[in-house]
Amino acid sequence: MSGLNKTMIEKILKGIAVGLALLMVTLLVLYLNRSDPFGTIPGKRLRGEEVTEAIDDWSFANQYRRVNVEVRPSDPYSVNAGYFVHERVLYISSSKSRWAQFMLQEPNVRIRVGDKLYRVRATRMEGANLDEAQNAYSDKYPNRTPEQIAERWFFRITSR
Amino acid sequence: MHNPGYSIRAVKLVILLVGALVVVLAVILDDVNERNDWLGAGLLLFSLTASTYFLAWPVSRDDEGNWRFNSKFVWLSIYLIVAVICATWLVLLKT
Repeated sequence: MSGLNKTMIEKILKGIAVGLALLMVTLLVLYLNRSDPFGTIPGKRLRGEEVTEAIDDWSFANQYRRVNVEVRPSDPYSVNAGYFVHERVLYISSSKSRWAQFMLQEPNVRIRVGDKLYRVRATRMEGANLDEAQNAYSDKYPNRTPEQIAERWFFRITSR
Repeated sequence: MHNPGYSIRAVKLVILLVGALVVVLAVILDDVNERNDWLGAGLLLFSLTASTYFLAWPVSRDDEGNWRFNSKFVWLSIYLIVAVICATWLVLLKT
């Protein structure tokens, strides 16, 4: 390999480095100014039109792939969350994650379904209610083992 | 006559190209998303190998003995930062 080739490689690598640096700066700016969650990256205060009327039937949520949950009202923290609707009631399930612990501390949260925001209360399921939620979850996600399901927390969502 | 420097440069170039190939294939097969661990691994390999082309201290003495900033260090830093981000990304994906 000649010296010229090495110089050429270094020039190409410098060009790629400039591209990577610009990409990092762009991602950093987007991250610092983020609002909605992106993938597994949590967001801040959710945007959307807020619905004030109480919701009794959450079946419409089934048309969406995921819902967003905004917890910790004092310093909004939002995530993409797994959910399911059972007998018109909306449930959110989570591993014992940070945001779920925030939700336990302050159950008054906001969720976004589609492009609409709802003020709701999240109640953690226990006892017979937990069994029912676990069974409904198992029906929706048959590939999950009973051990995996047992490790999850389930929250019933009701309008407030 | 065998030149060890030539072999090392050739191996570095091959590793660099393998890293680049893994990145390209990962993007083609699984798009750009945070769960694409092959993308992270390819970028990590590429960045680490690329950083070896710019090994330098932040400052060095010139011919007159004065301390001068080493511009190579900028390129080294960029690649090392990318490598650290990729490594963190992969660790988070596996935990």
